[in-house]
Amino acid sequence: MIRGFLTLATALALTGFATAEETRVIGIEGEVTVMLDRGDYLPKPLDDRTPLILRVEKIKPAADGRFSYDFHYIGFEPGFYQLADYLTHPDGSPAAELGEAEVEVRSVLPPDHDGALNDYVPRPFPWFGGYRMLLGGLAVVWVLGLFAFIWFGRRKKVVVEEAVVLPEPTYAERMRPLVEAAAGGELTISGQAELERLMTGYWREKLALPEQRMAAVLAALKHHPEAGSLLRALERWLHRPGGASPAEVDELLEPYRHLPVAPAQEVTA
Amino acid sequence: MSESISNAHFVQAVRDRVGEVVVGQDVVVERMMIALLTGGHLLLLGVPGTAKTLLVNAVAKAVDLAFSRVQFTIDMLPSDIIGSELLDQTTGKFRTHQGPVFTNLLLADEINRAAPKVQSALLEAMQERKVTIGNASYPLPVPFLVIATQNPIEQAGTFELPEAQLDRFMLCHRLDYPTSDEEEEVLRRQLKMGLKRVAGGAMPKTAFDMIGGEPVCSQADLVGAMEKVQSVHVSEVFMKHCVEFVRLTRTHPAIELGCSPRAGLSIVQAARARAFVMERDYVVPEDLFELAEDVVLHRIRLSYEALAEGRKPGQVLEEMLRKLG
Repeated sequence: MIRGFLTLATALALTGFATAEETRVIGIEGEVTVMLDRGDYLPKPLDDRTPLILRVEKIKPAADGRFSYDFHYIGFEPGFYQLADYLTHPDGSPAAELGEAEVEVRSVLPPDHDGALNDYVPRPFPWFGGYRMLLGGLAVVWVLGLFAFIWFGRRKKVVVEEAVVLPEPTYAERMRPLVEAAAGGELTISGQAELERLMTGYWREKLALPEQRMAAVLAALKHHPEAGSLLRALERWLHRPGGASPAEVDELLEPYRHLPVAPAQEVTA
Repeated sequence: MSESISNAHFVQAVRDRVGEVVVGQDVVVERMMIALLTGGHLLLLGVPGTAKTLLVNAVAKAVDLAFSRVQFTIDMLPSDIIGSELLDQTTGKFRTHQGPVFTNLLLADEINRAAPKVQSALLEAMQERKVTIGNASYPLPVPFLVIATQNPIEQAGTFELPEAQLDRFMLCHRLDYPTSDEEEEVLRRQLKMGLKRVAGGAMPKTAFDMIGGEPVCSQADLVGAMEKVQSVHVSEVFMKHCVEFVRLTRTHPAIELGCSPRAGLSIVQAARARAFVMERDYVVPEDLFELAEDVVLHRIRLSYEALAEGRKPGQVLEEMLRKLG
């Protein structure tokens, strides 16, 4: 039995178990190998208030007939803990033969520590500045920024500039050069097509026909005595095989050579 | 009958025959005549019950054309339209079964109900006027004309024709409801139809039963009329108007997709046929204005911005037409 204690003491010394310099502190897991005479020690059941958790990791038979125990332990309170309190025989009887072999768990702080983890030196309240002053300053900046935003973002006074925009040329104005070219026999095919479109548009505007489908507008124009005869004559000239003689074209276009042209008006935009 | 009919009266004879069973819809009949005379295909958009199928039936029987009707459904296959090769068990060899597309006038009812591969098969036949079954190509009968219908209201379970395929249709006409007077006349005619007796049974007659059996003109009359259409004069000025109009569809800010050159060709061809129908030997701008909607509206696509502003294709079309006159 005495030899067992010596062996345990040696093992503890070798691994730092229960030595003042190398014992574990609270919450840090340690491990130790201990030679014991019996190979059937079991850890004792523990409750959640235990100051030490001792766990048997491995048991190996040694050459001298004894057994090598690898223990892992974590201490939650500083102090000395006897192995006999944490191991038991398979039949549940206490392992009293382990005697006073013990484990030391040290505290992190010295025993006379007052519990203050950081040094605290109270400073006097500043005469100017501080957190409240900072908040007040930010509020003033915010209000000033808001006023600046409103002031600079206000609508600028629009300076009305009078721009002179020439009105769209009237149908009569656009038709005149085409009619002159036709009278001179120099109107191209494109010009003829343009002239036909303008004449239709001229009469459409002149008669102020209601808004409706263009096919219906054209039908209405053809029923009009003056416009109808003109459009039919245009169709004969431009679309019928053989067309019309120069004299017929002159006669057709004569009323449109001297159409009154409205004076140009200045429009203010 | 048809042997003696003159080209000048061809159109009136067909109109009169169609008028015996269809009340009103003069514009649709005119568009169908234009399609017949130019060989262009026609798409009819209209809600159910506006006599689309009846009209096509009546025209086909009036002109003595071979006629087929195909009701398009979602489970159709291309072979249901163009035909297929079948194994003849008596000879042990494959023989070609020609589908309903081998006809003069094909009514493709509710074309947008078929899957795109079926639509493509038909539209390919419309374009090339021949079909390939197995390894052999077969020309379609001449004349060959497709009149397709679409219901613009029901869109569930349909496959909208893409722009490229819509472009194959020379005209796309939107049918209106009949006027009140026309609708009353429809009711009056229905009341006078009476019963059809079949093998001891009877059922009320429909307008389809009233279609006359004898055609009023022959294919030869149609060919003669088609020749006349080809001789209708188209002035350089009219072509300028057409080109300008098509160009406007490509530059208008509200239009995302404008018309292809095929649209210009369609306007000129359709205008020629309309001039023939109106008994003129030259086209005039009125033809363009009348046909513009049917030629152009299915070929343009409005931009997102225009649609978001609530603009309609018809409004944009009228804007463009106002620039032409």
